[in-house]
Order: sequence, then C-alpha cells, then structure tokens
Amino acid sequence: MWIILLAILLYAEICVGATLVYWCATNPDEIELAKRLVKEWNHSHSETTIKLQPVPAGASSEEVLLAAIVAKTNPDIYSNMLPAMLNKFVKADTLLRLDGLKNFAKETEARIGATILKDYRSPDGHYHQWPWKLNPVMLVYNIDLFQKLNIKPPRTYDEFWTAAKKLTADTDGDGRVDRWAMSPSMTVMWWQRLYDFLPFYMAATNGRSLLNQGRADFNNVSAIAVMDFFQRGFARGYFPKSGTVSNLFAQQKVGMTIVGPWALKMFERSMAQKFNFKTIPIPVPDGHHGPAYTFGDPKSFVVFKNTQHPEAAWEFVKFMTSKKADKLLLDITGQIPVRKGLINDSYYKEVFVRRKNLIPFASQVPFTKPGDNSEHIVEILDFLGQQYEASAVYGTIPANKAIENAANHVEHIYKNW
Amino acid sequence: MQGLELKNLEKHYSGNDQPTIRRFSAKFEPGEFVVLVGPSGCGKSTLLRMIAGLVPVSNGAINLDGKDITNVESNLRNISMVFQNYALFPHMNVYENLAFGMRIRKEATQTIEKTVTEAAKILHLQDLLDKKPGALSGGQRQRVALGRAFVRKPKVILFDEPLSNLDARLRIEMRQEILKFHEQCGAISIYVTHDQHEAMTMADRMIILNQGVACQTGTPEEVYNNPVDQFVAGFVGSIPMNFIHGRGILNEGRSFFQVGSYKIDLSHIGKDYQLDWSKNSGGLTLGVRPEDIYLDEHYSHAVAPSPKMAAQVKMVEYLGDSTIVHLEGDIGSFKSRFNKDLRVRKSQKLDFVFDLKKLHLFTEEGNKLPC
Amino acid sequence: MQSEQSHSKAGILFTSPYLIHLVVFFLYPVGFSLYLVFHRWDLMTDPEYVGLRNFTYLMSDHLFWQALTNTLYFLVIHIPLQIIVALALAIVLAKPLKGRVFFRATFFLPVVISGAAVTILWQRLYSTEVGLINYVLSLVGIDAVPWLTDPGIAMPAIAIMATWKNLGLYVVFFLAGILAIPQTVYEAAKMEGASSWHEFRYITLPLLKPTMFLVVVMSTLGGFNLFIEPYVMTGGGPLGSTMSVVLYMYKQAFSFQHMGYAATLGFALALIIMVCVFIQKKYLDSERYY
Ligand SMILES: Nc1ncnc2c1ncn2[C@@H]1O[C@H](COP(=O)(O)OP(=O)(O)OP(=O)(O)O)[C@@H](O)[C@H]1O
Ligand SMILES: [Mg+2]
Repeated sequence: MWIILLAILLYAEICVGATLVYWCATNPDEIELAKRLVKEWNHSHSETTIKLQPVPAGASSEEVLLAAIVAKTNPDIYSNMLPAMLNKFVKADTLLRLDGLKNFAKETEARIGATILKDYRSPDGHYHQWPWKLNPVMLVYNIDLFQKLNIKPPRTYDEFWTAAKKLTADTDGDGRVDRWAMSPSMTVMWWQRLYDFLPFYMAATNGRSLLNQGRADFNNVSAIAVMDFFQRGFARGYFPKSGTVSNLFAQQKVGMTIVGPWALKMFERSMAQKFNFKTIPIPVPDGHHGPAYTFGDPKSFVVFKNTQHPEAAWEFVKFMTSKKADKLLLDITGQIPVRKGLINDSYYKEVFVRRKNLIPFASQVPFTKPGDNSEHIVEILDFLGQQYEASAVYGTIPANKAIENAANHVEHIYKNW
Repeated sequence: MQGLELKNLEKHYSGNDQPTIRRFSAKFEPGEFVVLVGPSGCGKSTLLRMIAGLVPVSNGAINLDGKDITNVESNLRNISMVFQNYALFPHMNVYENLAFGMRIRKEATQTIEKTVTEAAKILHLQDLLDKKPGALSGGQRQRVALGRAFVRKPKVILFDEPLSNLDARLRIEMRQEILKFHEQCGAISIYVTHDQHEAMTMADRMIILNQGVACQTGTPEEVYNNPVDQFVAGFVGSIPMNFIHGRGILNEGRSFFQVGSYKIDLSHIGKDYQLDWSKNSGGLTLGVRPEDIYLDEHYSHAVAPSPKMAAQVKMVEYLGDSTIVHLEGDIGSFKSRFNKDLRVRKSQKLDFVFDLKKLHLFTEEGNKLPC
Repeated sequence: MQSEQSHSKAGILFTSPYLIHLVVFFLYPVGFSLYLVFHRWDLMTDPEYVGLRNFTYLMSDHLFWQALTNTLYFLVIHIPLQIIVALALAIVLAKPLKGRVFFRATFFLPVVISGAAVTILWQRLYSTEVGLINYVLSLVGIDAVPWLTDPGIAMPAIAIMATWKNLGLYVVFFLAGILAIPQTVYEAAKMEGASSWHEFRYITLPLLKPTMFLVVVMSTLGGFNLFIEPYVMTGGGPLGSTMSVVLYMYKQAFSFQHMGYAATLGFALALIIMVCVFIQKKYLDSERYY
C-alpha cells in the first residue's frame, strides 16, 4: 500500500518539476523584495518552483551557512554571500562554477562589465559568484547641525578634526560632554573593521587591498595614518567611549556616522526630531590625491554545487538581477545594484528623483572595492580588531606597533594554517 | 529555698489557638529524679525547653535555689540537657565534644583536661576520646551526651526521651547507668519518657501531664494505685486499665454498678455510695487493671470477688512471665493478665471475677469517685 | 545454550537505550574530538592529519594563555564571592522569616532564566551612560563606572553577574546543608554558651564542608565554562580581558573553522579542570555527617 503511495508522490514530484530553495537576508526590506520577486517567478515559471526562506537565525549568516553545508541542508541559491568569505567555500568545492554556464559572458557584459567583474574573480581564475548589490560605506553628516555650527563637510583628516572640535561639546551644561563628532565601534567583532578601518584604508590608498598573494600588504604609512586617526578621535574625546548600542546619529548626539545606504531608512525611522543629512566620501589623509575609494560591502548570488538543477538556478539568478529586479532592489531596500551605468540609465531615473539621498552612494560605486577574498579573512580581521581596540580605543600601543602586530599575525596565520 | 521551683508557667506559641502549657507549678528537691510523662504533644518537651531557656516563657516564673532565672540566658542557668538524638557535634571527637563548652568559655587547658578525664572515667569513655560520634554505638553516644551534661556540674539535668533511640536491652542497661549518673551528679533530674517501665522504675516522683496541665504528681505507687482521674488511670500502666461503661443504680438503699445483666454491689468497694444516681443520668465507668481480673476459682482469699461473669477468649498474648488474654463478654471487651502457667485457647468460654477492692469508679466526666 | 543466548539478546535489548545514549551523546563526540585533536578540519573539506601540530601551536599560542589567565582570574573572584554571598543568604533564609518561601523562590529565579536573557539584562544594567547601576551610584555621588569597557573592571563585573545568576542554586545547596543540621545541635551549643558567631564558626561552617566542596567544584566547573556572558556582553574585550577559554575555543571553531585546534583546546581545558578538581578534592573533601 505505502509503496503505491510513495510512487504517486514521486510521480507528482516529477510532474511538478524542479523545486529550488533560495535563502535571502533576514532584514525586512530584503525579505519583502525577495517575496515579491519569487512570487512573480513562481507565477511565470511553472517548471521550476522557488522556495524562499530567510537565512535561519544564528550568530552570523556565514556560520549558519557553514553549518548547513556540513549538515547538507544548504539551499540551492544564496544571495547574501560576502565576496571576502567566498574563497573558503570555493576551496571546499561547494560552489557551482558560473562561468561555464549558458550565456555567462553575454550576461556579464550586459549587466556588470568586465572591469568590475575582475574584482570578483576567484583565485583559480574562475567565477563562483554573481555580483548583486553594493552598500558603499560613506560618511553621512547632519547638515542642520553643521550649518548651525558653521562647519564645512570634511574631506580630509584636517577638516575632520576641525569639524570634530566644534561638534564635541557639553550641550546641556551639566559638565559632561554629550555630543561627539562620530561614534565608531569599540567592539572587536571582526566584521566591524569593514565599517571603520577598512573604508578609511581604502580611501587613503586608492582602494588598495589588505592582502597580496597570501601576505600582509598593509604595513605602510597609510594604514598607520588610519589607525592613528581613530586613536586620536578616541584620545581627544571626539568619539565617545561608551558601550551603548543606541543610535547616536539619529538622536543627534553625534554629527557624523559611517554607513551604507541601507541605513538611511533606519535613520529616518528612528529620528526623534527631523533633521537633514547628507552623504559624502570617506575623509582622506591630508595631501591625498585622487578619488576617495571605499569598501563597497558587496553581496553576491551563489549557487551550490549540490543543486539538482544548475541551469534552472542560473535562470533564477538572472531573473533576480534583471533590469526590473534591480530597480525593485534599489527602490525597496535602498541598496545599489552592481550594474554598470546605473546612475545615468534613464530606466532608474525616477527612483533617484524620488530618493535623492541614494545618488551619492550610486555615484560612489565606481570607487568601491569588494575587500580581500581570503579563507583567513575572519581571523585576520579579528586580530586587526584586537589591535584596533588596543591602539585606537584604549591607546595602549602606538598606531605603528598595532599595524606591525597585525601584519605579523597575517604571516603567522598563513604559516600555521 | 534550695531546688527548682516552677510557678504558674505558661507557654503560648504564637500562631497556636491554645496555650501549650497552662499554669504549671511544681517544686523539685535537690537530688530528686522526677519523670514527666504524658501523651505525645502534651507539652513535655516544651516544658523542658522552657526550663532550659531554649524557649521563652509566656507567663510565670522559674526559680533555681531561690534565684529567679526566668529570663536568664540558657548557658548561665546552670542547667544541662540531654537530647533524644544526643545532639553531639558530629565533626568533633568525644574529647572535643566534652570540652566544647569549656573551650567556648575559655577555661584553662589543664582544667578542661582534668574535667574531661573525670567525666570519661565515670562514663567509661576513656578509650573513645579520639573517636568521632559517627564511629560510636548508640549507647556510647548517649554516654557522651551524659558526659557533656556532667562536665558542666549543673544543678538541673533535663532528659528529653534520652533512651528512645536505643534497643530494648540497651535501654534497660542505660536506665541503671543514668540513675547511677544521677546520683553522682547530685542534681535534680527531670526526665521525659514514653516508656512506662522506665517511668515507673526510675522515678522518685512522676508528673503526669495532659494538654499542658499537670494532672497528678506523686510516687509511682501513688499514681498507679490512686490515679486522680480516668485519664491518669488510663495512661499509667504498661497495659492500660480496662474501662467498663455501665450505670449506677440505687436498690433498696444500696448502690450497684450495672452492666448488662450483671450487678456489682458497690458497698464492697470500700465505701458505701449513698448517691443520687438519677441526678447524673446514672452513667458510670468502672476501671479495673488487667491483673485484678481472676478466673473463677483461681483467686486467693485476699481477693474480694465480684459476681461471676462470662466471657469468650478473643486472643492470647503469651509473654513468658505472664499471659495477656483479650476477652469479650456481656460487659464489653477487656484485657486481663493471668499467671504464666494458665493455659487458655482462643474461643474458649470462661467465667471470671474482679477483685472488688481494686476497682476504680469514674463519673461520665472522668472524675474519680472516692473509694 | 538456546536460552542463554536469548538471555544475552534480551540483555542487550534492555540496555540498548542506555547504550545508544552513551554512544551517541558521549562516546562518539569524545572519540571524534580525540580524532580531531590530531587533525585540521574546516568543516567543509576532509580532515587533514597533522600529528601533534595542534599541541605545539597551543603551547606557543599566547592568546590561549591569556584566555586561561583570564578564566583563572574570573574563578578567583567568582568562587569566593559565590560562597560568601550564597552562604550568607542561606543562613538568613534558614531562619523562620516571614515570606521566606517567596524569597527562596525569588533567588532561584535567575537560575532558570536563560543565560542569554540574563546577560542581555545585565548588559543594560552595566551600561556606562544609561545603566541603572551607574544611575544608582550617581544618586550617592559616585562617578559613572565603565563596567564593561574598562579592561580592569570588565572581568570582575562579569564575575558579579555570574554570581548573581547562580546564586539561587548555591543558596539551595547551602540551605539544604544547613537545614540538615539538627536544631538540637545548635541548642546544645547554645546551652554551652555559644554565641551566633561560635555557632557559625564551630558548627555550621565545619558541618557544611561537604556542601562547600560541592559548591566549589560546581562553581569551578561552571566557571571554566564561562562563555555566554563575555560572548554577549563584551565579545572577549576590552583588550581581551574577558576572553575566556571557552569563548576562545568557540571563536576558533565557529569563527575561524579551526575544528581540530578547538578540539585540542577542549581537551586541554578538560585536563586543567580535572587537575583543579583533584586539588580541591584533596584539600576540601571530607566525610558527610548527615
Ligand atoms: N516552636 C513551636 N511553635 C508552635 N507550636 C509548637 C512549637 N513547638 C511545639 N509546638 C506545639 O506544642 C505542642 C507540644 O509540643 P511538645 O513538643 O512540647 O510535645 P511533647 O509532649 O514533647 O510531645 P512528644 O511526646 O511527641 O515529644 C504540640 O502541639 C506542638 O505542635
Ligand atoms: Mg517531645
């Protein structure tokens, strides 16, 4: 009896066609976007059904994904892959090579362009990710406050300190400073360095990487200058040394903050009092030439090698990054699609007209870098974080010593692991 | 005045409706061994603990050798207590247990050693001094507890069921030890027990306590032979007194106790009861101790026999030195104690008589009628 | 013959739930970690045999030694604090107070609340600017204390929190120990003239020795497993001052995917705990009286 039932079920399965599991990020905006697109796909593609699921809860999506791969419960498609983390998965041979798939070159040319794509190439020369979106990390400042205090938006460290000096104040006269320049993170979580040290380092070096062929490539004056920048900020009291997690920028307790475009909506939602803000590139050391690069905070689509339907998955990835889907991404989440000529494309114009504050981020895209793609990146950034904490936050070691320690540790890691 | 005097002692635990001890008065002479008995929960321990100073007194006074010690700290009263569970300090050896109080009081080492050695000698603890209580037998532990009381040279020693954790044989042995110990101490001993034998054999004087009230005080013989009321009569004695419920009647100017078809002439009991039985509806209880019941024809001439009555044997308990026979007849169920040589069988029918000289009469309220 | 065989079959059948449990939840994990000690494994690729390299790395890994020092520092604060506070409370709660059932339950509450929830609560309490603790201190004129952001204060702060969290459990242990001591022993002592201090010093304390040993061993085990508090509150900082061995192990395993090294750390920790408990047993264990 049950054999017959099983047979019927199997048959039904075959008739219905392929089912692919897709994991998206867990923030509400991205879930909404994914829901809309998946619904549309399932409506028009009867042969392949997509099952949407936000990444299950865990300490970080990377850890959840790893656990899933080990347990063989990973999805077919995942859209929240950090390119910096990719190599680990490539080395373990868990990801599908995309450049062997139908029309890969053509699709690339149409959406991304060869120059940008190069940044996403795996060390073996192949492509295992499909660049999806960027969140260029930039400096957002409170225009109203700046105007009131007559401060110029800072482009260099010098200008930054001038601004910082004016911003840092005791506004209610109780003898305690209650407004600061900005509030960089004090914690050692490895990914925090992607939003403080790394963007400043990229800005100071025209987008240089931390690593070069398995060696530390950051034991230089620029890195020391960046570390020194943060050390000064904390030491002079321009950055608060508090453990608070509350959003000081929205409360106007700091005049500047370093974020990607995804944060703008959040600011608007959590402002106690409305104020205007503006986005500019990350400040650079005095005498710097050229544009201010920054960390792009990219996320890519990947397809797992153990999928039963690679071609269908690839079709879905293309669907999710189509012209139309990219527009929805921009509109719903405020994140920037990795699409060449986006800002000048008339198709997207109406979004930028409605959401002007996305323009600076979109304009920054050509000057972004995806970060180093190393299987040791977490450990490297973790150790860098400890040095950042010691040098910048607590000032117990000089900036050059911190950079030297971190660089030595990179050697140590590559030697031992 | 020498000795211990309790004046109208009262104890009312907060939260209880009824006082636990009511207007308890008594005097204790030096060297006296007084046994306190009473049913469970009647307040014996409470009384001892008030004397010891472990529970505050609600009302009344305690005088020791003429000094009011009602509110004196327990350790300053010159009173020792021996507990049922010995209350030894389990982590200290026998020596340390005996020396504990003196050490607390910071007495000189030589004094301590001398006193402990003396106590150990009296209580045969010399070989056990470095053992911990856990390694001792029950009797040995009890001797350590006695020793701890002894070294204080108290004026009063309070015993709260000290032997009830021991087996029967050891208990009998320890009785003698305690009495000897009592003599050596020369203190007033107040001794609580549930064991009738213990009470009767050890006591100079007994106090029977019921619901916080002292019912009777007297030597064991007095209490046994002349209980003041039905409660005492029923309480004292290892096999309780039989109570037979009947009626008092007046017939031709003479009083009779009537139960079923039997009539017992009360004039033989020793007093001629010229009572108006109709006044208290005539209810009357006859008390007779098991040993005062005889089989027809087996009684000696010292006995004043009642009319012959019939009963059937329900159960026989052979004790060796005597035999307890449970009987049932027209007068109800009762127990009798017979000579060990007597052979009776279950279901056997027999005739028996009471010794009229040993009967007790109680009103319906449990008050004793004079005999 | 026949029946003997069916007997042994039945025996296996009856013991199988336990055997399966033993194998699945104990032998297999322990065996597998022992295997991992000699391997490197990133979860995804096959484990690679490395001999004793994990051990040699451990020996020279100053981050591990710092974590171990931190953990020992935590224990040195936590255990005495735990014992003193729990014992004091147990003594108070052993007295016939009004509402003591309520208090006993209240102190036990944090024990059953999830560690993460408690930790998040305390993170708020400890907040330098907006925390309740600093607010209360400010009322009596004490300056804000950077509880979790000062490298010298963070670990003691965590020890205080851990003490609070486990307090109920140890109060229950001590309470059980105290209530097992017959009241008459205290009365006997009182009649000998013992003061409250004497009673505590010469009776309660020595008779609680077995409980004390239990509490010391349990809080040592718990203390070496310090994890959720620094994980949630400080991430091991500031300046690595709250990086515990287990948190470091967690980081090696799940942040860096150094499974073999994490297993090595686990074995090292187990060994250290064993040595500690052995020493404690030698100096603290005693006979039980009740
Ligand atoms: N601390 C107390 N608080 C309230 N009531 C108490 C207290 N101690 C004793 N009682 C009550 O007082 C009464 C007498 O108790 P006590 O222990 O004195 O009796 P006892 O005659 O020694 O009984 P036993 O023969 O069973 O030892 C009992 O009803 C008991 O419940
Ligand atoms: Mg009692």
